[in-house]
Amino acid sequence: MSTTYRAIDWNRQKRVYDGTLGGLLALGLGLFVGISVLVSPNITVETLLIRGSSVSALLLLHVILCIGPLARLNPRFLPLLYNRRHLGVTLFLLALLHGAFATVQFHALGDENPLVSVLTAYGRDYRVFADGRINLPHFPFEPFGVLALFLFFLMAATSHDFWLRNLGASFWKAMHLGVYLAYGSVLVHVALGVLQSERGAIFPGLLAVGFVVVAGLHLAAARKETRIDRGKPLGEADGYAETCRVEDVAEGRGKVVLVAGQRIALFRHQGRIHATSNVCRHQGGPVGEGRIVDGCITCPWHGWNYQPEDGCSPPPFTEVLETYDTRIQDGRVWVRTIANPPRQHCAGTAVTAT
Amino acid sequence: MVVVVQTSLILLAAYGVLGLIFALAFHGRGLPAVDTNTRGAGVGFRWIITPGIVALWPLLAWRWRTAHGRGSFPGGPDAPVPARRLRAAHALAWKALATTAPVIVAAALWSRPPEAPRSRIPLPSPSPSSSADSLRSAPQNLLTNRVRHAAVF
Repeated sequence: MSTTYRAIDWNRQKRVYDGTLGGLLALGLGLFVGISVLVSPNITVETLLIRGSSVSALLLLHVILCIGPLARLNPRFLPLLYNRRHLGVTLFLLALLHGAFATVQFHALGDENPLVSVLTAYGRDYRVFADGRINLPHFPFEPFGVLALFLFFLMAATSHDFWLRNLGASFWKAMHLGVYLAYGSVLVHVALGVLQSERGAIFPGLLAVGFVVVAGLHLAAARKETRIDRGKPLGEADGYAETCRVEDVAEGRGKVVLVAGQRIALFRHQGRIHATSNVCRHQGGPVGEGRIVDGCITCPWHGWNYQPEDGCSPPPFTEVLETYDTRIQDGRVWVRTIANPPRQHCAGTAVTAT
Repeated sequence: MVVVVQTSLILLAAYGVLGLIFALAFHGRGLPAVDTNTRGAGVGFRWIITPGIVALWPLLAWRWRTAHGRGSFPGGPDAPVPARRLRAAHALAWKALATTAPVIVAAALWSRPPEAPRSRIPLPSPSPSSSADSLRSAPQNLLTNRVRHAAVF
């Protein structure tokens, strides 16, 4: 949260995060170069650069795709989510490096514009059928890499909060869903490109393992989310919906409940139960999975704050969460199904008042 | 095909030049008009958002226009993310990916030729000692850009 934008709001966590990322990348690249030189002593620097940048980018893409579902499945992975956008920008830079080196190496020394060559070289003589079968080994694979690079660029270029605010959260999120299209393009680019000449089973095997891990984690996270959304509705009376037991909401902690088909965040703060929307105004993070820090509801994703009494971010910030009236009856928390007007003060319900 | 690609690249370059011109104007007067949080923002912030301005300048032009009360811009800053719709979009994306990507990759691997496909352009020098080195120095690079990656990897 910031009233005036900065290029990067550096703090200790971000420094540790970026330092770890840089260290791991350097280590990975060093290992890759070392192993490559050992296996193929005649390998050239250009080939090492092209391969090293592509392998690092591919690995990073898998890590990025795993972080979201991992954080949904286990809160211990939330710190990885905190600065994921820096991973995205690094991924774009690595992919750009790979694209630039490959273009220079394979397309820049001819009599044609290198970019035109990248997009047309393999398509010119391509025939769909060759030798009585579909001609996949010569299918133009480079445009898939170009498409992925373009999508990575769009996502990296719009990773700053300025874009989230000015394009609108829905549009911004939709644009960043392009990472799945980029992933698909990368898989096709690799399968129709380098894997056509790599004879071993190691690279196809690693690619398959990567896909299974990413897809499996997304599937597990989706099952968990669906189970929450399909939760059995409890009682409803006088415009209030029954949710959970009072003891289920620990002091200073949040709990996500389902009210009229929507997820609502319950918090217990100084012995009172408060209810707010579960969707953070920043990136749609699950507010109810956060906790109270310095008297404010704190989103677990990026630490955005809201006051439990009125849903407002503490001054000078201006974001507002919807709040809901609550009541406690027979040791259970009931939440009003209609939100309060924005910024309306709502004292919450004292836990002792049963 | 080549003509289409050449024309597209020219149009893309023109779009980029217009984006650069727009970025200059936007940095001058547009930023404070569309977002008060940009007031007092440093040079680093301006640099970091410039590639996005060049890429998405029509959207920002629209936003700038609506900041003056002309028309409306969808998805204002105060609109929350519709979580259910977002989850549905994720599910759709994964269904598409999970059904198409493995099939394409498996087909590509299954149809691999027994030998690595070499460049379809005749090499001027016979039996190079190292395929990577031969490509780096091969004069066919000077004749045409069409060189198959497979010859190097």
